[in-house]
Amino acid sequence: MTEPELVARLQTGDTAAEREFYDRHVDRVYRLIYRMSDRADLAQDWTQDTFIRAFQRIGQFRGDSALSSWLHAIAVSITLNGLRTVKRRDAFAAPLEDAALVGRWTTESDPDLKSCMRSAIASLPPGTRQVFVMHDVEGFSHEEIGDALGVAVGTSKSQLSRAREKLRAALAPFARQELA
Amino acid sequence: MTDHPQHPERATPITTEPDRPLAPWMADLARQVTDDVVVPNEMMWKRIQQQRALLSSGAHVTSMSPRQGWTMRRVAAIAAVLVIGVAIGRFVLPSAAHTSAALDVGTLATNASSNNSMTASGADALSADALGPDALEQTASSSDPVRVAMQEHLVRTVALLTTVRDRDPAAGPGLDVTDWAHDLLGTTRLLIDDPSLRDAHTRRLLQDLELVLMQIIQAHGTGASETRKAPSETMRETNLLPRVRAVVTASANREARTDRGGLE
Repeated sequence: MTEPELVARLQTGDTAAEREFYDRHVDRVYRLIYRMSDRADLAQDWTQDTFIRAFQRIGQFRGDSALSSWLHAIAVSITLNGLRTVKRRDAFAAPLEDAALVGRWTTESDPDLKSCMRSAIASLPPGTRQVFVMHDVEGFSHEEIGDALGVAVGTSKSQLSRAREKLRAALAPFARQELA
Repeated sequence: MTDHPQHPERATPITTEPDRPLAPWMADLARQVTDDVVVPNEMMWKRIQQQRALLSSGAHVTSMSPRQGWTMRRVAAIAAVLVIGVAIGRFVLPSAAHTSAALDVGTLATNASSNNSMTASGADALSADALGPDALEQTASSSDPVRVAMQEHLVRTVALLTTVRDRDPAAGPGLDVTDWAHDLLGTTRLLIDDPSLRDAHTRRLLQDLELVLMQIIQAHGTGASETRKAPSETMRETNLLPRVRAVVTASANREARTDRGGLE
């Protein structure tokens, strides 16, 4: 089924098309939210919310962008709103995150490179992590990130630069191995 | 595109140093970190179907895990008790409650008007901005006990916020204010969790209020000056007191108009 056909059937409320749409996109949506939130329970809740909202609003989809981009924009919006709420609640329940804790391990303590990268991303401050995931992993432009996060393009670039620096520092031992 | 950060703390100094992309192996790795994450497709699909079925039957739902569901049921039970209590109070003692509310609200309306040079229509406009047209419509005409409870709660809140604003931020709130904030925080959370107050503007107002109340509680007895100043700063940044006052004032104006209409 092509995308225009799928959209047309979704707009008529076709249940089989809804399942097809879900199957095509759920993995990427879930992983996007998981990377941004670093919590499986939130990723589940917000993935569900993303699809429910998409089904509710599919009538408004005009095909100006790819269906996946439209869906990802919904996912990002739901995730960012959710993270703001979580941040407000967590701010008084736990000590503030210390960005200096990024990447305090060695190859001896954790030999799994992917695991180290995952931990390094998770250790980034929330705003920095969101910008990094959206730009370097999901391919959003700084303008799109600025729109989504409500920050200036320069701020987005600055946050990305910080994220990269922290990840480079965290993975420095592996970088030497890679070069060798 | 928004070129102006909405919050000062979100503004970050722009680096002038040239940025380098990550090494290709690092960038690839970043994209692969969630490859081995198990996506619970079927479970999420079932929940989506359940929620859509409930939505189509007119019930209000939010996504929740079984653990959240239990918490929400408890919160809903407490909220129901609160609402029933308020409703009983209004119906058993209508004249006393009305007189008291009118006095409180009238005083606040006067204060808001003189402090902010705000006319009644200006207050309505600001209130509309703070709560949104849909919520305001409900606030204006509804005798819904939850809305009534929220209005009465906001009246009490104005008094606390005014007290906090007028105290020396560096000294922090006293024990009396902290106890007061504790009381108001419980009700604020009940209102936040109430399904009939789900519109974004109302939620934002209540969440900002929740944050300030928590900061007031945190500020008591702490030695850190930043923590002591936090409530005042957040109130200033979120423009909280004028927003709450505007809602209260707008409600008072509408009640007064309704009363006049009834007399005429």
